[in-house]
Amino acid sequence: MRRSHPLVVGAVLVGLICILAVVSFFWTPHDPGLVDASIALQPPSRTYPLGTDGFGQDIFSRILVGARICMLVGVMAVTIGALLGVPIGILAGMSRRHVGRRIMRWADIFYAFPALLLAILLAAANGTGSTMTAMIAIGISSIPAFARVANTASRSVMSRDFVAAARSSGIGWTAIAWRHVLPNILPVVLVQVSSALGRAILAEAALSYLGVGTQPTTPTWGRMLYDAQKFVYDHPAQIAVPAVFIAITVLGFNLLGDGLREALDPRLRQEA
Amino acid sequence: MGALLRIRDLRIGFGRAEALHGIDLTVGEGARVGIIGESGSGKSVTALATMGLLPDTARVSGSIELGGRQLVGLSDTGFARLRGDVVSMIFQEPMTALDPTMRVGRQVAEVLRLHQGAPAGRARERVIEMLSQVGLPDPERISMSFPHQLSGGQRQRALIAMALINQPELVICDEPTTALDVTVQARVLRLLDEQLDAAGAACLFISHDLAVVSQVCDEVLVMYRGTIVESGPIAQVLENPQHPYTAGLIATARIDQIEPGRPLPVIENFWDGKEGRP
Amino acid sequence: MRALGAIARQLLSLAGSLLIASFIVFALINALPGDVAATILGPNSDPASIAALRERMGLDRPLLLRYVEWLGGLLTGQPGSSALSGAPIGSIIGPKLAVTAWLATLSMLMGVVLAVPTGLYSAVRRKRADGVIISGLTQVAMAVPHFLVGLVLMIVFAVTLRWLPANGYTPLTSNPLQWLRHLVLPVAAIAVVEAAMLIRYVRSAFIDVLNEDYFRTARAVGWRFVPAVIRHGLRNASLEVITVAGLQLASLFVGSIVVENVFLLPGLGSQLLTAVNQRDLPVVQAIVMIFVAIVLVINTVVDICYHLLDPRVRAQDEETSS
Repeated sequence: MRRSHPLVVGAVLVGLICILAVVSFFWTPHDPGLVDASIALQPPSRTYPLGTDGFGQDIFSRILVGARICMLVGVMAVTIGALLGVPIGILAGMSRRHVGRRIMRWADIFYAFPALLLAILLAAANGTGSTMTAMIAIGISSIPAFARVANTASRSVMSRDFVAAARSSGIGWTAIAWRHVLPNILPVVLVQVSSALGRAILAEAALSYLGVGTQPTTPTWGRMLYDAQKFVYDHPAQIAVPAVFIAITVLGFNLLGDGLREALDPRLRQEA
Repeated sequence: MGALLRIRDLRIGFGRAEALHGIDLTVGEGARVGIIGESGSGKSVTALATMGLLPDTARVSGSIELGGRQLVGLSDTGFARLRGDVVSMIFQEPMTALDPTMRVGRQVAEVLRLHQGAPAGRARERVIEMLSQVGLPDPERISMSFPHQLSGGQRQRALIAMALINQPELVICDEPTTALDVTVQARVLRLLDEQLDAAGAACLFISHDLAVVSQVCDEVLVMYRGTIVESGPIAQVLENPQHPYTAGLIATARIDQIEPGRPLPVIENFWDGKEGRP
Repeated sequence: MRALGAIARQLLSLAGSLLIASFIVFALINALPGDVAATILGPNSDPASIAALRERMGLDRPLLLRYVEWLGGLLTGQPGSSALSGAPIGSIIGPKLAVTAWLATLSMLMGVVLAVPTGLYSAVRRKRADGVIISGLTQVAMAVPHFLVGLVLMIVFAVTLRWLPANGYTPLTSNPLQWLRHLVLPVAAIAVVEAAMLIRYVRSAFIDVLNEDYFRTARAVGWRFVPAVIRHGLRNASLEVITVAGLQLASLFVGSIVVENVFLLPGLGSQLLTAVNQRDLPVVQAIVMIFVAIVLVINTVVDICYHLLDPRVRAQDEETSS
């Protein structure tokens, strides 16, 4: 049981953030957008559990709503990445070796466009960034990682006996991909999903911080950090709250990924 | 003939478990001693303890004397000076036992220069000589090859060259032929036999295969679950085993004596694991 | 000779990737729905000035022609001029490139210097308390974005202790000491996070190597532990680490965009953000292309290193080329 610590801790942290995001739809202690300069930069109190920011907005309410954007962008981006990357990887893994290598080379072009760069490019082309451009940019940049994982895994599935048996009994390629390859590579893809979520949320925070992702009136953790930075000399503690929440979320997904990997790979379990 | 290696009451533990329950063994100068036993019987642990290559989580007590030097409690630096020079070891997996990124000749030369500080030119000559001595064809080419360009048998010969190039007093062989094809096995064994003779080195030969041990060794020890259950000259042990476990080992190895239609003999037919335990 | 052939093939494929990537950058800016001139001038511009800008930037000419011109300009170091000031882009970004290059290379250097010994140490002591603690710390450090580490370092060393400047930059040539003082915090911010990731890879690569039979052979022929690791471990472990480190160096250039903005360093990243906010599309396009080219070149260099280090891969090349 000691072995599954990362899995449990990761699941708890991620679960916590999900709950925050869900709760924000029904209840926040204050209106997260309500500006009131007379109560700016207050320390935590009974009315404002985590204090107020430079505009007098309730930090706790903004954290709750920020969890939404963070999860939304993370989940949508990873969905884009997985839906495009995994089929490319399977296709390459089921092709002959040199054809597969060529397909992967094309997918690798996306490595040249890290999330941040692509998001900036999209924001520039559109005039401003938005939650949508952030999702698309992060999603596209995670394609090659998914393709790579799916490629390696499906190539090893293809060399197994049950695939040879299926092929010799005349089952078509698409059927093999659906019935044999996909179910067998799902565990590795799942591990990749988890660590990709961690990376996507880091990228989302960076984009909001720079102002090229979700636009400022919507509360995001990255933008909260940017706003807090102005008060770094007099109120350095302002950056602590959003910082901790970003770190908890990413840590949660990373641990979840590591835990899943360990649970799925008996060799690693021995080593750890 | 004096004793080269003298092990007394050697106990080795990992965590709460004890892998070796106090064994005694002696290898005379130039003698060939075989250790036989199933996996987990403690034979490899004994070898690794003699080489000082146990993981640092192992607890070792008792005494291992090599040529009068006490090895138990020796520092890693002290051991390193002996390894490859006074005592060397040949392992089971020739396919993976050579560094894949380094040319074979350089790996052999390293062993020479590490202990004798020979200049590069002289070392190269000696390496080529050694490679041809272990029966590698075209030693010049082999020395310039990377491990992945050689066959398993060739790699094991290269490893034997590494083990013998400094003319050690004791060579420990841990299942050196198990991973090889049967035909290659026989040739490598013969080579090992010749080379040990030529170097006058003593040998501790570990195997689970009685036939292999009887080809190389004069004496044999039978190990079972961390103890030595029987020892003696190889002919005597083979003809007249004292311990039922040994009898079982011998019977299961003699496939030629099995009557068609009868089940294959297993150790349990001979010994229930209780009677006659020391 | 065959190794040279393999390198030539890598370079050729780099040229191909650069061409495709440049087309993607160009197309994203110029071919997405929405007029470039209108985007530059913003939502409240009048049609007459939009038409004038279109005229000045030559936007009425065919897309493909403009792409080829831009490509030619890139190759000769003159990829157009700013839509705002009309200044040549080369002269705008030239001085900024040095700042970013210093930031990225120093961070990588510091990251590697931190990560290799620490990773090795935690691999050797993976079952001891300190090894486990290092693993835990890297896990936490990986969950923190660069800019956040930057903010924390700024609060501690610039705001509270006042040892180092919180922001700004001095060129190396005008005052080396000031230059260093300005770079310490941004470099540390990037290096800490990169090192954390690298430590995990170095650790797992060394755990693999320490369990390898050839490492045991090296010990059995008389190498002490540390020399054995240096002679037979480093090279083999580096094969696993180098790919990751290369990808990281690439991500680190991009990460510098954010950190430059935290510490107000006048580098490429700050210039890029400024250009985005000013809607100066030609400048954005050029800077993004520079970053993309840096990433692709690094990846190619990593591939080539990998080929030179691993004789097995070299052998594969020889098989495929013959």
